[in-house]
Amino acid sequence: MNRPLDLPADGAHRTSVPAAISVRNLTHHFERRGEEPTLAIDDVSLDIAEGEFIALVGPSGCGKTTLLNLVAGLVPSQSGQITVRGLPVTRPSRDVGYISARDSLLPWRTAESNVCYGLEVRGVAKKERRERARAALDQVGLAGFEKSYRSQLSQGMRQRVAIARTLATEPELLLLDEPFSALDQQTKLLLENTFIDIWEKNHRTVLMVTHDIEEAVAMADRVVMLSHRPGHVIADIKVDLPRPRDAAEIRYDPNFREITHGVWELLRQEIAQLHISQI
Amino acid sequence: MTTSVQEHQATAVSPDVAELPAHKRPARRLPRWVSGRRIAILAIQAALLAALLGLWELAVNKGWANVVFYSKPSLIWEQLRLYLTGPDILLDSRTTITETLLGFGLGVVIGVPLGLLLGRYGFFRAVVAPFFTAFNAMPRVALAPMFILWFGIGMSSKVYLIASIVFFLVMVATESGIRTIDPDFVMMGRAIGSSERDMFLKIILPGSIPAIFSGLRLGAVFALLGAVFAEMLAAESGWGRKIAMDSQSFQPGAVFAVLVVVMVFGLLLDGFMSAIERRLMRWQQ
Repeated sequence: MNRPLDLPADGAHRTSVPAAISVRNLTHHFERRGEEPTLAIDDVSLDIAEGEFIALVGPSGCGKTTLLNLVAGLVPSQSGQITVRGLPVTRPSRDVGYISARDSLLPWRTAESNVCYGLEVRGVAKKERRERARAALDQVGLAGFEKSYRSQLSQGMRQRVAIARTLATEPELLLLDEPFSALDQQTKLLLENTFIDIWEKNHRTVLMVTHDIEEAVAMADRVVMLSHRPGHVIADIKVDLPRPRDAAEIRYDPNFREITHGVWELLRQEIAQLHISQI
Repeated sequence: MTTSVQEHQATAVSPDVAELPAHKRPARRLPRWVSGRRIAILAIQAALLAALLGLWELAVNKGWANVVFYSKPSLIWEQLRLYLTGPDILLDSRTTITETLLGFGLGVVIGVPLGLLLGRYGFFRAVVAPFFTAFNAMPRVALAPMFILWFGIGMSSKVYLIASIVFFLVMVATESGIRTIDPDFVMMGRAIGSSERDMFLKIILPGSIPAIFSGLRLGAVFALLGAVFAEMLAAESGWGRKIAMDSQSFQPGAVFAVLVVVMVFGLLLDGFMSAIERRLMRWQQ
């Protein structure tokens, strides 16, 4: 982190504080065998400050998940620059936590043992692993389920274990790929609130991809909208709502309604230009 | 049936019960095997077996089938009793069981690591796959006379023959287990920062256990088959040798008696494998 920063020489961004996540002129093609590469992401630049909660929205297929996977280092970048705390991303980093829509729990491990996995990888001692895993499970409201296997847990509980697994590693940054999308409405609200509570305690930097605009506005500080493929940034909306927030309560706030309406309107215009076959 | 459906719902579907910690869930009232359905199945199975044996006995007694060729259950029982109390049973059993287990063990020890390498390293697979495919296309039992030529009529020729059959089955199962692992697990493993070693030992290997076990169970069946077959060609002792001698001297009753012994051992072997499999895959229930 003390390394001198080599920012691109275009002079456009001479910030003194390094962004937690900085994406510069990122362009990405999908390559499929026997076909011309498809342009998926077109010259995206994005800065996320330390401690900021950003939601990334956009029409389906706009490359928002690809952008997230590029930032996570799960997909090698083709052109442009991605830095996390000033360091270029080449592969997944242990300081970055990643949560996807699918829980990906290892079915042969218990809930506690699944949460321990990320700590095992980091060489944490057994006793400490157990304590941290229990604390993380407790944080997501799953105390008492330490010994349950994936097959014994409901979908919402599985996703909570997945969240606990990532939180237990105490990442500096969190990348979320539609983390609540596979859940029913009530579970979703509950988990959103759990997550907001946890986030408000430590204010880690969060980049969350979602297709749910209300969720984006309810949770994030900023909503960034990508266009239809090839994705580029078409709007960057500041969500000026008070914190601490309650994911359910805030939906009655007139400001919330106004912001959501604005974001929807932008998305609607973006979609309106498209034929159904393009989606 | 109804009880098992209710149990299933209680543990997996109904959210209010699923939300309870394990020790607070309602206990089962009866062990599962005492259900009416289970008893009915066992009764019908016993009746079917009795009917088949009865029909066999009847057909031979009525002269519809020649006892010299087909024997009959009562004669087989008599032969089985003779064999089990006779002088050869101990040595024969020791020979065949040793060959089967050693051959199987050797095949597994070679097959699993090779399968892991094949599944993990595409380059290695691309180089050696054609050789293995060609080797597999060759019926290994046809090589049995060569193994006997090379390694003699003792146990070692059988052990190597069995190993050559088993290793391939186990290797293929292991390879496919590794290659069909849920990509979500691999993605999660990478995202959370696993080392290559952790990825392999803690995600890929345990994830392949079900596939590896299907190969092991198949391998166990073929190991016994290989032992008996090779002994029939040339051996100093063993169940296969006994079968060959009895059939050459026109004693179908004795042949069937040995087959009963082989079958019992085969069932024990498979039961043992299933028990290990269940132990390793408790999480599935």
